[in-house]
Amino acid sequence: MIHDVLICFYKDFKFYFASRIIYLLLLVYIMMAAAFTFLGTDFYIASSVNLQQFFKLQPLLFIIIVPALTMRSIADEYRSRTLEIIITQPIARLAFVLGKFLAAWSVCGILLLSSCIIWAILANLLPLDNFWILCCYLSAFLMSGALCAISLLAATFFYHALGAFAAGLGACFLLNNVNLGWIAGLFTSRSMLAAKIAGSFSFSHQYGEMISGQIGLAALLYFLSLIAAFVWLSGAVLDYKRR
Amino acid sequence: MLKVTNLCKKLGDREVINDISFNLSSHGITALLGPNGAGKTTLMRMLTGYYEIDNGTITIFGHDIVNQRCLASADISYVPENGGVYPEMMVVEYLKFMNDIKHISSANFYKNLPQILSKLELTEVADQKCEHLSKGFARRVAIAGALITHPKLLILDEPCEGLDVRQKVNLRAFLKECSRNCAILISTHIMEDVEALAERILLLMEGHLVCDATPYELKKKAHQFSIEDSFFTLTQR
Repeated sequence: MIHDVLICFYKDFKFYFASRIIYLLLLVYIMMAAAFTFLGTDFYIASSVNLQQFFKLQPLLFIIIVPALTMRSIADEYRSRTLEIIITQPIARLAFVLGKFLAAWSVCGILLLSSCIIWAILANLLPLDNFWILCCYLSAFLMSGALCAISLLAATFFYHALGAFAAGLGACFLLNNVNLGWIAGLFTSRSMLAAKIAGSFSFSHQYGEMISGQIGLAALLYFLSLIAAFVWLSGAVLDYKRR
Repeated sequence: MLKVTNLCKKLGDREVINDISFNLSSHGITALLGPNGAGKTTLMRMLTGYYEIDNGTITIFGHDIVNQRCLASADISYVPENGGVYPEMMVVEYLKFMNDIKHISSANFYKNLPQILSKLELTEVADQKCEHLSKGFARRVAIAGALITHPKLLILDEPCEGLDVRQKVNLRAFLKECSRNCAILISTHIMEDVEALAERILLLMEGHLVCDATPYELKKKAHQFSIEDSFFTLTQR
């Protein structure tokens, strides 16, 4: 299984860097991240300087970047009819999907790593809480993983890259913005507790908690289980399409 | 080697494959014929495990394609019509990928590579990206990818499409040579290929297997002198 995952991962990861678009994406990501951090906020008049704003805006960047990354991963396999070849090989479908997911997630990791330049610049100028920043990077990486997984799931429904992009964008936007507390409140109008509990399961709430310095096992499990569920569902959708 | 029993498949409301049964021995070339929409591609996709089976069984060397898919598909190579290569990969890279995914050792790959490249006349394009190749070359790369792992069952959908006359003749000779050690199932509309290659013909019509015979028996059954005429006669509605 691991061997199959690695083969699929290596193939997709290499493809990302065979295209020039990835370098453009890298450039756009760094520029946007820097712009959001230094220009779009009260960075220069704030009494204490940190990267809170930078990490707060990461979901917004990844909501756009992740569907652009994953939109071709399944659509291209349909177009070149390689899906017929790969699905009929002695590999588990889950290994195929997992390889694709890991390749997209690794690219997100590289994008995040590239933004360390902002951290390095600030660290040279001011004293920073480096451990907290490291935790925030871990949070952002997990958040990007969950977005990759749901975007890949959306992509499995489409034969064309554009459709996959639109669906991925919609799915990532919904995942990030749906307030489960508000939805629960609609059904249980008298129970504030139920709404509060449901709200704590919201994606944005979990990410917000993590970047405010509360990385716990629950948050880790939350993101990892989201990833596992969406990757498994992607495999199930591919399986269903065989009918 | 391949045993197909009472195979059925519905796509939407249409019965595409209807109660088909046949066996294939471990060598020789079998042609799958039939008019458009007869169910040839669907049948091939079911044999490779790409499509789910509604009813019936497919076993390859005793391994069931549904319950033991990984074991069964280890012995099969499949080349779909119009495609099957990764455009961004170089030819050798693609062949290596196909080798690795079948869990075959690199030593074997590098031993087989020069022979496959030379037999399919791909040596000169070995370092080129598949997206830069002509249709004929891309087709041969796909076939090379299927053959590099020495499958026991090779399934080819329209193998000679896009090839020039010389390439067709060479490919036929190569397939003949390969068929000594593996079973080959080809689907084609080119009757020349059938005349030149097939030792057995399976004729499909609206999802039914209407004839399973040698070329000689087929011609005799249709009272014709050529496979093309026999095909016309037997597929008349």
